[in-house]
Amino acid sequence: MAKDIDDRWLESLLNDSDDSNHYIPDDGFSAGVMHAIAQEQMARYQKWRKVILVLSALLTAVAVFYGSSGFSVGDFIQQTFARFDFIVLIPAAALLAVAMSAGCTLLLRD
Amino acid sequence: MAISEEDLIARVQSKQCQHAFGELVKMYQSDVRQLLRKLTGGDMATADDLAQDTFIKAFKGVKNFRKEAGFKTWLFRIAWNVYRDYYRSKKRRPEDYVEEVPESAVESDFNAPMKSKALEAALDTLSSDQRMAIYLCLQQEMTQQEASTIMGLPLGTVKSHVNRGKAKLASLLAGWQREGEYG
Repeated sequence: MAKDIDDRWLESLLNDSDDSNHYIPDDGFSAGVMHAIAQEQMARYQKWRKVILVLSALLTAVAVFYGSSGFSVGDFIQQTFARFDFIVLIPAAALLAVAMSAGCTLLLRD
Repeated sequence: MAISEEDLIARVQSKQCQHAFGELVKMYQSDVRQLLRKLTGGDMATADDLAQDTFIKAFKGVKNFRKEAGFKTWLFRIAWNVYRDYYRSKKRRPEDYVEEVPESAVESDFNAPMKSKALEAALDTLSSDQRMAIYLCLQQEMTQQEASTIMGLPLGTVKSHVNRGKAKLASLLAGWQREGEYG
């Protein structure tokens, strides 16, 4: 039975009765897409803002706490460099950067 | 002066220009929505939701568009993946969504509206892979290589889907051909 039909007939049938060549009017669809994209970008911006605010607040709190107890950040940096070699400091800084990057990625994940 | 598609893509890639992307959405919304309507068996609301997801993903990933294939081919590939992910997340195969079509539906009178409706019913009996391959190769007149790129399947598998889909449609629509020839 299937052999009775030739490919050309089937293809013309598909093309004739198919509405795939009919244009679907936009009717606000593209505006809706752009609105959704704008909303997503705004949500992403808000998340970044939250991350930056949290980090700033933490750093300020630490600075205020140590500052009020007479601790000098300059002294701390000087002591750290005096106590540890660059062989220790560079990998430690890299690990800290990776951890912070991972934390931010996790916070900003969709 | 109208801006070319290449320029619009370049603007989106370099500056994340939303206006330029909006123009691209206007250019391709009909093709993408039509494809997804076919795949969802005419479920317009779901198709439009998936089309919106497709364009959002396209905007996010436009920097990865390498111009090796056409922009439409690239969009169709995203739409196909969005469609598959949607049904995967619902934990059912796209085929499960398709209603069983009674034989009588495709053996109806040889008049245009019924023919169109019954052809849709016959297409709905195909698996989503077969429907996609038939749609791209026969209705969109894309090459099987392009269909292979869009569907992320080897060329031989796409050929097999087209041939099996055609054979199934042929067996369902054989009565029509006879009516068309002799009726």
